[in-house]
Amino acid sequence: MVPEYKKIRLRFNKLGPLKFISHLDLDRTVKAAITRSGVKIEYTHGYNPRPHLVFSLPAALGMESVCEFLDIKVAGMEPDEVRTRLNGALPPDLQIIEAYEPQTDFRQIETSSYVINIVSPDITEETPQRIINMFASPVIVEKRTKKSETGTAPFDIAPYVKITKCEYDGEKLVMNVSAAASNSVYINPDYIIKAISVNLQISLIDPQTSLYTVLRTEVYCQDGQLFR
Amino acid sequence: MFYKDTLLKQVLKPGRYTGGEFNQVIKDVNKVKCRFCFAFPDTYEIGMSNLGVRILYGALNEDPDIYCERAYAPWVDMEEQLVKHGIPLCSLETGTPLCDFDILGFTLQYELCYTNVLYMLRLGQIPLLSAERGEDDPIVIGGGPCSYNPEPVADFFDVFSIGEGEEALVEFSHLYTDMKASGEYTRQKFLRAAASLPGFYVPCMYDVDYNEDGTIKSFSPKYDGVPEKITKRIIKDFDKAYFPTKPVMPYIECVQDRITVEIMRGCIRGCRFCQAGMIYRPIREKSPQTLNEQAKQTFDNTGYGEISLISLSTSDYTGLHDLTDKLLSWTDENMVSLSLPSLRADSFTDELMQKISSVRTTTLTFAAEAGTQRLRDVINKNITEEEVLKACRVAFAAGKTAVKLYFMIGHPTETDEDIKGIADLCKHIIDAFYELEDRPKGKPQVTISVACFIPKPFTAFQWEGQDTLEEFRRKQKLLGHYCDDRRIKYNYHDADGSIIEAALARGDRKLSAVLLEAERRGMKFDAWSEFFKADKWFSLFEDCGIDIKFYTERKRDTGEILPWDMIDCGVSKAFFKREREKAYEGITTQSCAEACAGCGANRLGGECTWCPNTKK
Repeated sequence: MVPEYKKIRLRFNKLGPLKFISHLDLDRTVKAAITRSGVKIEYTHGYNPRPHLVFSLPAALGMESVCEFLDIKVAGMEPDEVRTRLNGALPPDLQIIEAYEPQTDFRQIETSSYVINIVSPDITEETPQRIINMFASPVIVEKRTKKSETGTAPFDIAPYVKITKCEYDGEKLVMNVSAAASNSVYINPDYIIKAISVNLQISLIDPQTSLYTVLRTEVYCQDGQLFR
Repeated sequence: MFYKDTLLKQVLKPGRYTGGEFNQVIKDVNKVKCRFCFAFPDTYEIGMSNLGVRILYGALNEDPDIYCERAYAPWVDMEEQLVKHGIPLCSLETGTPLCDFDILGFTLQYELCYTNVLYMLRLGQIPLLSAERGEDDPIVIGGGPCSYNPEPVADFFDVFSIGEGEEALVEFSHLYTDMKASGEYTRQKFLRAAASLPGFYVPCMYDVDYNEDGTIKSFSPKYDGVPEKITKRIIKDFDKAYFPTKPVMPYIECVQDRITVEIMRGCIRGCRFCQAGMIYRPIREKSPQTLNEQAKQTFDNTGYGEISLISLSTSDYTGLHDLTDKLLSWTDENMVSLSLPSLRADSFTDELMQKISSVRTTTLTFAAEAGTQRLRDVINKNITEEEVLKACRVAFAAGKTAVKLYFMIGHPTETDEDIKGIADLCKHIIDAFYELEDRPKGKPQVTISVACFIPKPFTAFQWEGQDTLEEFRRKQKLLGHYCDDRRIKYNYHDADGSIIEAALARGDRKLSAVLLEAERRGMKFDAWSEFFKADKWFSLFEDCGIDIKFYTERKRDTGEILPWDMIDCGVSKAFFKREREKAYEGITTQSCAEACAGCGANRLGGECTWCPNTKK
């Protein structure tokens, strides 16, 4: 008898050392955890059957996140129990916050919001205003693209970046940013940081004195609603 | 995560340096008496794949007084960052600089990693030479297969653990904590005490004199109570040996990332070129019951989808059918596949084939080692051409079209006829494919991987001269000429790496100076083809005034004092001499399962599977 599988969406965080693992590594880590948890999920039907996992918009390497999404198909178990069981098997920095039946499709994703922290001896009281001014005009970066021969092409990221907060508290620069994350345009927040570093001459090289972190906080759909 | 973000964002694969993996051991550093760091002198991905490290990490951490952490050789981009900012190489668990540990243990798996040992010591901010270390520096200990001839790296290590470390390293750590607690610890006193622990070799406690021709004149302990011979340690009851069922699971992809269970230690075969087959004797097996439980527990703790049954010769394990039946009773339903590496062609049957293909299969690989029966008899491979062909037929009948074979060139007594024999054997396999009525569709493919023979300590060939570089290259070219069929895929490595490896494998203490200079010249990752530069090595030996051919091409007299003579690996020198003579006469020796050849390893005791005097 073929069991009836129901699609469940898992919203999880990816923090600490896990921010340095790639999408493929995450895939293996989660698969092993699902096996340990005893949650029975649907396998692919090919020659090498493997757990069927669909991640949406995985966070880039080096970025922490509290809004990663994974769809799985589970037989005979309610979302809450899936969450509890999986959390028992997952590492502490990779925990499921919510499990539910999905109401939206990955293709509806339009933007992501981020909190960016920057520490550098080159940051001053004027830096926040200079950043806002900078994004009022075109900000050209060498963006990775599959179309160009060199692998990168000049791209103006300013129209796709909205800065909702930019403050300096004497120690670090804190920014809240919303950036395009759709199928057609995806702006990795590293481009924003790099552009700031280059244009405003803020050095981010020396590990003793400088630091930057990115935390993805939320994902939104085309209509401005939260992705769920 | 102890290295700062900014630094990790500037290197490739930062996941190598973050630690924090699932199942890593966390202890309160203030509540332990001995801080041990296990260092693997190669990348994280390779080190994390090593079962020996997993076992010792687990065995040491079982002890509440000891905290064992891990460190791996950082890739060169990370080295650049560490050096630029003056940051020491740190352990993964707590981010402690290597120089702050009590004991730093290196596993020596292959000779070409020696430069990486020095590279890690330097990055860990520890004096490279044992003689230059002070009271506050860690005790640096080596172990693993290369420590059976520790002499080339003797100047860099304070002590070596000879043989199996599960019990020995715990005892060693306790000697350390006891001496610290009683206040009698000084570096010198500790090393003196360690020298009299069974299975520990302390190089600075011995004097070496050389003859004018460079051979060893005498080798003797400096002090009373320091043993002349160091007998290797073994686990006597292997079935009850510690096994890590909660291995640390790497987040990033590693070379071997699966459940590995060690079904047996030692090998019954006695191939005359093989060091592993000798130094892991006597042969001890685990019961299918124990192995099945260990595999199941590891599966429950990890969720891995593959189990690998490892040993030196898996098909010689007496409980193989029982074990695979037990495993298959739960692996299939959990989508776990089995893999059986190290299968011998003569034991490869339909039944075995079906078991490993019940979930999925990989390419089948057999080691033939030599192309003609005459030479296979010389090296005591004890496998016939018909057995190889039969194994290939089984594979073909099961739907495979590709098989892979391992060979070596440069064996003692080898002639061009033997080289041609390699290609002939491949052609016979191709013929066997077409003769088979129920063969699969398509063309057969025979891949051969041809290595260069390296004479190793503790083998019947330990006295032999190695082929010259020119001779290896001529033979490689000749074999290419004979492999004139497109269905044969011929792979080989350049010979110069094997020559450097040979020099280091049978070297003496004089080579420590060469390695020290290698480090000074920035040499590292020599096991990696993109870093290994033969020219650099050859000029290094020359600049140090050392003739590399003394170590590689020179045929030793059986009466010569060998650099590794102070080590007793269990198998006697008399046995190696007998085997060497039989090799020259082309006479084979039966496996331990058929008759005892009197190698001597059974005097180490233990629950040996075959040895007549100690058998259960």
